[in-house]
Amino acid sequence: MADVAEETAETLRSTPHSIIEKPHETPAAWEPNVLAFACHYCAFAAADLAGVMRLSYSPSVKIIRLPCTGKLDHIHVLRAFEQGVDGIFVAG
Amino acid sequence: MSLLANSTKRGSVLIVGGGIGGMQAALDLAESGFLVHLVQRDPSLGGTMVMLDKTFPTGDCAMCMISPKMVEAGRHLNIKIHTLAQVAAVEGEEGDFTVRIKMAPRYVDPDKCTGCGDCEAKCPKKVPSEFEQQLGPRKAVFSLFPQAVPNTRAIDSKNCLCLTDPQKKRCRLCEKACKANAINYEDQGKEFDVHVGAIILSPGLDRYDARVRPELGLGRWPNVVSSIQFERILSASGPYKGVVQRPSDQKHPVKVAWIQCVGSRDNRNANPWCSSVCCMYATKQSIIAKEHDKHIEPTIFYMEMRTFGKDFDKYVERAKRDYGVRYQRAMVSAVREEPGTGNLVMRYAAEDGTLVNETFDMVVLSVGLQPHADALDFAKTFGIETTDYRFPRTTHFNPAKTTRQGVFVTGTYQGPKDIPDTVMQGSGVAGSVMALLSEARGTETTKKELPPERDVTGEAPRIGVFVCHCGTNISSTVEIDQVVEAVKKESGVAYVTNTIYACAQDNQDMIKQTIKDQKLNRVVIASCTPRTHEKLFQETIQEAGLNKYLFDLADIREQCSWCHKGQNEAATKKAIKIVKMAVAKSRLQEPLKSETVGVTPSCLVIGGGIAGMTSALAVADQGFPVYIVEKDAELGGLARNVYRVLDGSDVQEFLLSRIAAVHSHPNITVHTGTEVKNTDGFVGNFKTILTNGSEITHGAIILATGGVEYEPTEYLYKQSQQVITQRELEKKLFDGNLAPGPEESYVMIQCVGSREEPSQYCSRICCQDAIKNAIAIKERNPKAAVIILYRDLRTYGLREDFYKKARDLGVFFVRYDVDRKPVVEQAGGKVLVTTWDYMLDRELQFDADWLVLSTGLRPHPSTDAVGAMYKVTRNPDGYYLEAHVKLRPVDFPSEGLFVAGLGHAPKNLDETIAQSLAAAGRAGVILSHEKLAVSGIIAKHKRELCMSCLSCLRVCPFGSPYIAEDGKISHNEVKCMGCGICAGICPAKAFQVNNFRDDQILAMIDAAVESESGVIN
Repeated sequence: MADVAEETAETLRSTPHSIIEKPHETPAAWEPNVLAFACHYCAFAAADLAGVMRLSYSPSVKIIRLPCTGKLDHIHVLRAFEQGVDGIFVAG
Repeated sequence: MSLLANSTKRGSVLIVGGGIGGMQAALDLAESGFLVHLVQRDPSLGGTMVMLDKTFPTGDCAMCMISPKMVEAGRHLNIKIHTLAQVAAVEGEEGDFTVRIKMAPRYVDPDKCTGCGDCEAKCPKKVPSEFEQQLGPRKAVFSLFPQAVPNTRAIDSKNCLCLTDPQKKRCRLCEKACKANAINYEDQGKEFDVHVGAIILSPGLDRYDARVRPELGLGRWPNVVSSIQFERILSASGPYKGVVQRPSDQKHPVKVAWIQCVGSRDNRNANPWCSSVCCMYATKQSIIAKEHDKHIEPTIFYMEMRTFGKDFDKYVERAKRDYGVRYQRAMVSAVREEPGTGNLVMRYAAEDGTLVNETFDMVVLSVGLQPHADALDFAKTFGIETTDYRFPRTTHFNPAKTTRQGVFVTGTYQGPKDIPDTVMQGSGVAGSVMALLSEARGTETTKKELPPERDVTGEAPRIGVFVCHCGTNISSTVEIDQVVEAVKKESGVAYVTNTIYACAQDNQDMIKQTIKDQKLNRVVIASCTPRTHEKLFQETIQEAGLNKYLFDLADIREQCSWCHKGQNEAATKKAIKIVKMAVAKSRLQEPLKSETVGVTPSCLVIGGGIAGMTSALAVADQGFPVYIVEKDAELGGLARNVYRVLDGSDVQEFLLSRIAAVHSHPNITVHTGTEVKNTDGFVGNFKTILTNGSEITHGAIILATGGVEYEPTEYLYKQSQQVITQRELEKKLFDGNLAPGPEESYVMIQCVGSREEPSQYCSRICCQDAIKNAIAIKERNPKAAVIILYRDLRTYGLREDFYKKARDLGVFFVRYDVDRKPVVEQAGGKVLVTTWDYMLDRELQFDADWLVLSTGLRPHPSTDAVGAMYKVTRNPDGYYLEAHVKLRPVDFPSEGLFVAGLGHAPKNLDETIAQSLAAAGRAGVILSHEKLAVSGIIAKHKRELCMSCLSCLRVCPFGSPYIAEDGKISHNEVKCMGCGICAGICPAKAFQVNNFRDDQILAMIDAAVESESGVIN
């Protein structure tokens, strides 16, 4: 593992600065587009309760129900980021 | 099952009380072929447990656990729920009772009400909420709590502006708000009769009203609250939304005190019994409070820490070590408010007798449990006898049976107890009733008849989308028309419409008709949460001939409109996304077949002690063959060495009667001197080979492998003739008829081999044993001296009486600390016991003729091997680990396996009996089915993709992947619960979970980020 970390650090050091993407400035009204993966038995139930209690959160959060967060796959996370999701929330 | 046409018994049961215990009994009975009438006084099921925030010792959320049970009970075809109801009269006898039920008017028609809550929003009348313990308001038209079942509002006639006005002309705002026309101010309630074969009483207990003791300040000082109020304060859905604050000024308290035994263990203006649960709930509350706010400094004032249950002592240790909870042994005499600050000054005597004044920001009174005010009338209605304390009269050997045949009790009503014991008794009483009414099983239940399923294979998706307004719940925030228009353009969508209430009967009919008219082959309903409504809608589409898995629910209420009030544009955009995500999934849905497997209706019981025999008899009485496998040459187990229980009942007589009953039972085969050699199979279909060569096929297994007593190595045991164990003393007293001499002295040491490393747990039985023997000595010779050296005297529940009796008889109790244990030496003909007395603050010495060691319990040495064979986990102390500490106390995660007795944890005989009946009840649920349905939502294994890396085998909690004969992984779908952990971990993606397939989830992800223009943003 240590070798991999060193290799990565070395790659970054040797890469010209021009091709590393600079961090974006966050526009004022920007809301992150967040996708939540929630376990049917707990976090999804908690999301329901948040509604019952009329707790407010950003409407840009959308929830995908899983039978268990153990079902979450790398590919789900990768696809979401690839599609431009800003953040992923796994709760279970 | 056996449908005897000439049976005189009825196949239905009345259960009075819809708390967790009553619901458990109802579900077990309804699932095994009995019709249940569940009568509940409140407008909703739930009882006490729904008011709790978290539960000890796991910290699980109470509502999250009980809510699915309420939904299940509420939807069960064979459970008829009568809320706001009481029983007025009972006639008849065991097997055939006629019960008169009186229902108070609800003023809301449950057939019309959809539970949307529009009426409640408009109601102008606010009153203090009983559910929130007066800490928050509710309306006059109300739901007891948000997850209430049935989900129907009720009007409180004492507070409704309209019902309190004789002209009924005022207000009527709820009537105007209700689009379903469910409000009925003229409701008169009703009275009707039901006929049942047995009656189960589970009305629970009330809480002690601490205002009776004004010196403690409840109702006087605003920052003194009762423990149940503090539960609501802690609850995230409570009046303070989980923020720990003082009622007087909303300030965050730092120093918080709990006062134990308020209303318990006290004869003056209170109850003499121990309420069993307060030590644990106070510990839990202090931990949770600290988790909510790390600045809180909790102190618990107690007399004795009675944390006797499984893993309870470890919980207290954790509270001390990790949360800094201070446990102060002291009686608090008074609480008074410091003028101007709202702080509370407590006056108490420290253990050395000095009086201390200490100031706290907030005080919680740990109130005890007591029978309801009308307990005597209640008992009279059912014709059962009560004890002096107004509890129902039961016996030690049959804790569920009352003095009237066919009338049973369960839960805290029988005596104070915690949730797992309540659930256990619920299943246990169900097991007893199954045995009683076995011949009438299946005679009164109904089964839903469904039309044949339409074959949709090969059809292109034709999705119908129904977008619900939910009155104004959704439509006041989400623009329904925009959702309808946006979804119309989606590929595969054949039809979109809106509906006021998708769940109302008329709209259900409309949905069914539309499925037929539009030839829909998939349905998406955009309304509320699948957790409560999925099954309802699945049934709707089944009634229209569609496979129930061709359905998806888009939650645009709980997870959209209710959270984004006032943000209509953003909420509408989100609702469109949610519906599109559901449509994307729906396009890829396929009809799924629910497989069924046959059941061999017989049971294997491993262990022939009291637990095994009680389970075996209760299963055999239901009409199923039972095989008992006992390692020893004879039946009886540990109880062979026990002669009396605390109340004096004769254990040997009971044991012999059980052994005789087992041997003479036509359905029971006993294999003694035998063990299990090999086992194979799954729920409903096990195959077992015994060491004597017998081969048994059976549908369920009960592990009742029992325990052994700890054999001490300390305190000169085996070195001095005068050092014996309680069990050896018991034998002398009750078998040898020992008569203690007038000058004889007995010193007893408690917790020998318990509550310290390496066995950091309470053995639960030893305090009772010591007191039982001490009373026997004193009764035979009042002049004999008996001294009990103890750490905490744990005569919990109604056992407290015997502690008092022992004190009254002159038994001395001296507390010792684990850091300063008694020292024992042989001095001539006496055993010299030296101990520190914390009250006198000096050393004490006793010359004992007999030193009696109260030794603890250990799991039977075979527990590990049996556990490994059945792949059931053991806890660090070696006891079997049940499926869920709270709600599945006799189940294992693998279906068809159950646990009873000491193999699960140390417990008293009555508790072992209750648990054994519970195991029999749970087994009966399986054995009464000819076939078991396997859910359609399971993992499917593609062998051609599988590399047999064994990842799935390691992670599956249910043991469904297995190594087949060819050496490669196969998957037993019957054991699969559909969690998909295998699918998550499988590197080859050989596992896919039905309806949660990767392609479906990816399609949802894509739909979630796709912009309205179709461009991915």
